[in-house]
This record gives sequence, C-alpha cells and structure tokens, in this order.
Amino acid sequence: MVARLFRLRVALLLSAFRGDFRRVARALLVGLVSILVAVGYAWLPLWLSDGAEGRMSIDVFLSSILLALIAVVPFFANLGSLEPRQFASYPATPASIATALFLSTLISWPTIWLLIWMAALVALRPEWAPVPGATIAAGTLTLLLAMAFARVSSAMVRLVVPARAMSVLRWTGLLLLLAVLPVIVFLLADALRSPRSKPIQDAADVFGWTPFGAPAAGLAFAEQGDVSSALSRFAVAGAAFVVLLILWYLLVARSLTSVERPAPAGVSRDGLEVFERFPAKPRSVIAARTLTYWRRDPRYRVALFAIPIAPIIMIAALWIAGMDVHALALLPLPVILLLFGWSVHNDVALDSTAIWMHVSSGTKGTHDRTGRLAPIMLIGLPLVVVGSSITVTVSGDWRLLPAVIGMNLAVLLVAAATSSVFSALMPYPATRPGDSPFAQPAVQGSGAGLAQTLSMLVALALSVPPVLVSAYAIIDPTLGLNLVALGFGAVWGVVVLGIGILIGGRVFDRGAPELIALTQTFD
Amino acid sequence: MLQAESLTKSYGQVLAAADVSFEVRAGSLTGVVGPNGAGKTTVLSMITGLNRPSSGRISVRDIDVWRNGPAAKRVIGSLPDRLRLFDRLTGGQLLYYAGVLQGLDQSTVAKRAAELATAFGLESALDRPVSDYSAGMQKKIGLACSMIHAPEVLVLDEPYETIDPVSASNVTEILEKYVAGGGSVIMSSHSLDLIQRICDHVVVIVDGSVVAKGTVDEVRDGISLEERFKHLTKPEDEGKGLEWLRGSSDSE
Repeated sequence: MVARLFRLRVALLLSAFRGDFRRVARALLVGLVSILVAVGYAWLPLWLSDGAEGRMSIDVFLSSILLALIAVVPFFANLGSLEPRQFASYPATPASIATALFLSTLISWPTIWLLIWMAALVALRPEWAPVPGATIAAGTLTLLLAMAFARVSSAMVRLVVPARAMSVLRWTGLLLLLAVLPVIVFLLADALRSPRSKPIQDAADVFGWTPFGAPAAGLAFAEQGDVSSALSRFAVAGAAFVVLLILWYLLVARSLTSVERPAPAGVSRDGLEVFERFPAKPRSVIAARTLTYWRRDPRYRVALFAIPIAPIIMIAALWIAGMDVHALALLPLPVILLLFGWSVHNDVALDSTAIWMHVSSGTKGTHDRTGRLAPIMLIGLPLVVVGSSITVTVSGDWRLLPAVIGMNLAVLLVAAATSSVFSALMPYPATRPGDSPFAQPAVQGSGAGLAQTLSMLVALALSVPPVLVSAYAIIDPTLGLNLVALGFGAVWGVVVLGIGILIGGRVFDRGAPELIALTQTFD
Repeated sequence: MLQAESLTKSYGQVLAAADVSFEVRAGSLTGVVGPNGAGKTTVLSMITGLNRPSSGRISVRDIDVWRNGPAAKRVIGSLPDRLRLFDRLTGGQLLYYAGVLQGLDQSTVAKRAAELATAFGLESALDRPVSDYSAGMQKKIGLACSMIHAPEVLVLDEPYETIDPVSASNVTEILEKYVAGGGSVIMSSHSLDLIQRICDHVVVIVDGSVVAKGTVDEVRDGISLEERFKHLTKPEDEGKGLEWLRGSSDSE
C-alpha cells in the first residue's frame, strides 16, 4: 500500500510537467516563484530585525503563522487530490490506508515547498550550526506537524461539511483571511519600525506554547542555551503530533465506514440560483429573494453608490479643520455602516404591490423583516470585521480592535433595526420596479422627507450608547475596557435588532392590507 | 365552504361594497360578474385578506379570514388582478418562493412546481425572469403560484384576461378537474359567455351590491346570461346622447 501510494504521488507530481509547452512553462514559472517565496519567507526575519533576539521572536512568529495556515487552509479550501474515501473499495485496512496516505504526503508540492523553506532557514541561520540536534528536532517536528495538520483538517472538513456547502466555506475562509491580514501586516510593520517590537515578542511567547510555534520556540531556546525550556517546547510539539496522528487514524476509519448524507431525495432545485443555497423556510427564501433583487435590480445598487461618498466628504472636511489623522481613521467605517443599515428603511415600497404575496400567504411579519436584512448582514458583518481590522491598522493601535469592532457592530445592527421598523411603519413612494433607477418616483411627496429624517434620527440616537462606551475604551485603551466595549456593543446591537424586528413584524402583521393599499397608490 | 356575510367597504363617502353576502359551496365554480367598477376586485380581495373590510365577516371552512388570517390563508389560493409579481425572479424561483411561503417543504415544492409548469405549458420559460413574460404568461404563472399549496378554495380575479384561447381552454380543464376533486373556485370575469359555460353558480354585483345570486340557471331564468345581465344592470339610457357619433365627419 505505502509503495503504491508513493508511486501514485510521484506520478501526480510529475503530471505538472506534462502537457503542451505553455502548461509546462506556467508550471515551471509557478514553481520558480514558489521557491523564491519560500527563500524570501526564510530571509524576512533577517530583514525585519537587527539582532539575534528580535530575529528569534520573528522566526517563531512567522513559522507559527505558516503552521497555522497549513492547519487552517485545507479546512476552507480543500485542494488535496488524494483522500481516504477514494480507497474505500480496495482490500486494505483503514490503518494501512491511513499510514500510506500520511507517509505519502511527504511527496507533494506543499511538503516540498516546506522543505525548501527549511533548507533556506538552515542556510541563512549560521547561529544554528552549534545546535545541530535541536535544529534537526525542530525541523522534523515542523514537518510532521505540518503533514498531520493538513491531513487532519482536510479529512475533517470532508467528513463534517457536505460537498455542496464547500463554496460557502471557501468564501468564509477568504473573509477570515482578509480580516486577519491587516493585523499580521501591522505587527510586521511594527517590527520593522522598532527592531525589539513588543507586540511581536508577546505573540511569539504565546505561540511558542501552541503546536504552531512550539518547534521554532524550542529551537530558539536551544540557541540561547536554555535546554529545559527548549525540551518543554519540543515536548508540546511532539505531544500535539501524537494527538493529531491518533485523530488522523480515527478520521480515516470513520470516513471509510460512512457516506456523505445524500441531498434530500426527489429534490431538484437546479436553476434556482441563490435559492439553492438557502433552506426552504419562509425567512430564508425571503432572504434569497432579497439577495436576488440586490443582484438583478439596479435600483438597489444605485442607492449604494452614495454611501462611500458621505464619509469621504466628512473626513476631508475634518482633516482640513486639522483633526488628528489617527482619530480620523476611526470615523469612516461607522458612518458607512450606519448609512448601509439605514439604506433599507424603505424596502417594502421598492417591492411595490408584489408584497401581496407575503400577505396572502400569511407570512409572519418577523420572517418578512428578518429575511429582508440578509444583504445587510451578509455584506455588513464581514465589513465590520475586515473594516475594523483596517481601521485599527491605520489608526496605529491594535489594542483598540475589540472596542472598534464592538462600536461598528452595534452601529450596523442598530441601523438595521431602525430600517426594520420604518420600512413597515412609514413607507414612502419609491422608484417603481422596472423603471430606471435614476427616475423619480411616480408619486411625489407623501412623507418621504419625514420618514427619512425620523428613521435617521432614531438610528443615530440608538447608536449613541455603544459609541460612547467604545469611545471611552478608545481613549483609555486597556484590554479590560476594550472587552467591555466589545461585549456592550454586541449585546446592545443584538438586543436592539431583536426588538426592532419584533416591532417591525408586529406593525407588518397588523397593517399588511393597508401596506398593500399604500403601495397601490404609489404605483 | 366559503361564506361572505354583509361585507362592506367604504372609502370615505364612496361605498365600494355594500352589504355583500353570498356563499360558495364545496365543489362548485362560482362566477362573479358585474360592470366595470362594480366592486368585484374589492370583494375578492376582501376574501383573500388583502383588503380589510369596513364591516362584515368572511369565513373559509368556518375559519375567519380576518381573525385567524394565517390559518385561513393556508386554505385559500389567490390570484389578485393588477398587482405586481416579484418579477425579477425567474418563473421557477417565483413558484418555489410561493410554495415555501405557504409552508411547503422543499421536495413537495419541487415536485409540484414541475407539474404545475407542465400543466400550464411554462416548462421552457421557468429559467427566464417573470418580467420578460408576456401578460398572458404572467397570468398563468400567477395561477400556478395560487395553486401550489393545494388550497381548498381558489379566489381568482380575472384569471382569463389576456390569456390566449388555447391556454384558456387548458386553464378551464385544470379548474374543472380541481372542482371535480372537491375544490371550490370563485372567479370574476367580464366574459359572461365564459361564466355561463364553465360556472355552476353566479353572483352579480352592481355598484357594490349583490343584485342576483344562485345557480347559473336560476339567475339567467331561461334567457342567456348576457341578456339577463343587461336587464339587471339597467342600461336603458346607454348609447344615448351620442347621436353626433355617426361615422360621418361634420367638421367640413
């Protein structure tokens, strides 16, 4: 089994260089760039630091990030070509399949890349020559942990997540990466500014105790001559490897004796696009319908164009007035989120008389309200995470991150809550479906100004408490205060949104026929 | 099956429906006829819960539509006239949407949507947005949506308007099969001929009030429904006062 799988692996590797000239050329180019990246990653700590101590922290930090990526990426983007289930029909025990698959992972492009990186490290760190034993131990443990992490997480995702949900998972992974990236870049930039960067040292200390950073931390201690600390870190790495290996054998056995739960029988939802990704419940089909409209109906897009403009003008004005850039960096995101959540305060009017379908089917008001918020949440929540991370990077103090996230989350949810109430309570004439998005509504007046002003005032007023709490934590950036601000923002936002949906739903339930009558007069 | 008791709807001074009472029996096809603006749409939308009556009571299978809306609406299938559909959705998506909103599970919706599309001849149009449909096709997809949850009463406002003759006979066939299976239909139409042909009961509404009701034979009383209708709506002075409209221009 092992020998066969090795031959298969070699064949898979060489297949990259088969095919027409262009394909081979591209493979060679990708390979060359990968080698450069590997060597560059090994060299990066030397460039960022000026002394051995700083370099060691950065070494531990970067190799932790690498191992963490190796553990996490296969979970979100499963690219592997060989997996246990493919061997289920062969006369081999789960244990032998697991062993063969694990060992043959050695012969794969990611492992080769890892080996190149480690070779470059050894070449670029003459300091390690006096401790060959520790170097070999660290290298071996890193390699084994990387193989085990990648194997376990890719086997896990195949077992836990159905194939049809994979694309959602990939997007989630990408978003998380985007959210983490600014923080990593910030830490490295900080290291470049001050060679003895405190944040990096803290991070390296913490990572050193986790399986991700333990091998590198062990080597760093060995280099300093601290044998007992080195051994303790190596022990952490070794223990983690044993646990992962056991997990791997269990996962293989499990995936060989189970099949993926089939899609519910007799169901064909082909051609329903967005609807295929949502369960068949009133709330979720309304969400799918709203998302489809945002994609297909230009009226929704046009309304969004104005949103980034307001904060730009605001910031330009404040900047000219001489406000501090770091404080200024905190402003645009909450303003964008407020406008974004508020932008759906006339959603029912945009549906026009088609809303009869919700009424004649007896759809619950709360379901109608929740479903309509889908685009706001799907775009807004990632925006909160990624945007807050960028905000703290620009403002230059990553300790503010929890408070900033709390504030932005609360502002988004409060604005969405206000929209939930107002779109049922005070609809005003909107551009009709099918009309040019730049066309004026067929009917003018009828409380447009009042509804807009009132809903904006309510959203602003409800945003005040979480913004104040966060502002307090931003001025005095201790961890405790920041966590309080994050918690307060999240709870405040969720509670206000819940109340908003309940009130909006009640208004919708009681006044649905009047809502139809009203949209008829707009049409 | 369905009972309307002294339904009244007033818009300020204007009475759109005045003390309208009638009933629809299980397994019957009831036609609602009346001149333009007589209040047919008002009455039908009060039955389906889309237009709140000023007073009166409607019950379907003894469930009050305006007291226990959600329960009653599970039993009613409705096709309103001149209200929009969610027409940015494709035909298939719209059917799925209607089915799920009515509380059906995924596999039932998928199965029924496919069968309804075949029955109404819309299979090839399911992947196109409803906004690209012709008026007749929009009517048909609306009809299909009203039936997807297998209601016991269908309330159809002008179901035959804009539908071509071939499709119309197809729709009639579907409705007759539905009624034969125990369902009830109440529908409005301008075509008295059609009502006389396919309905067994009829309600005549003029100026918001019921002027005649009963089986088609009772109401027409020996003459054609169209003749009877002319009597009922008292059109004696119609066509008068247009003596100048003679087909010969008098501007020379």
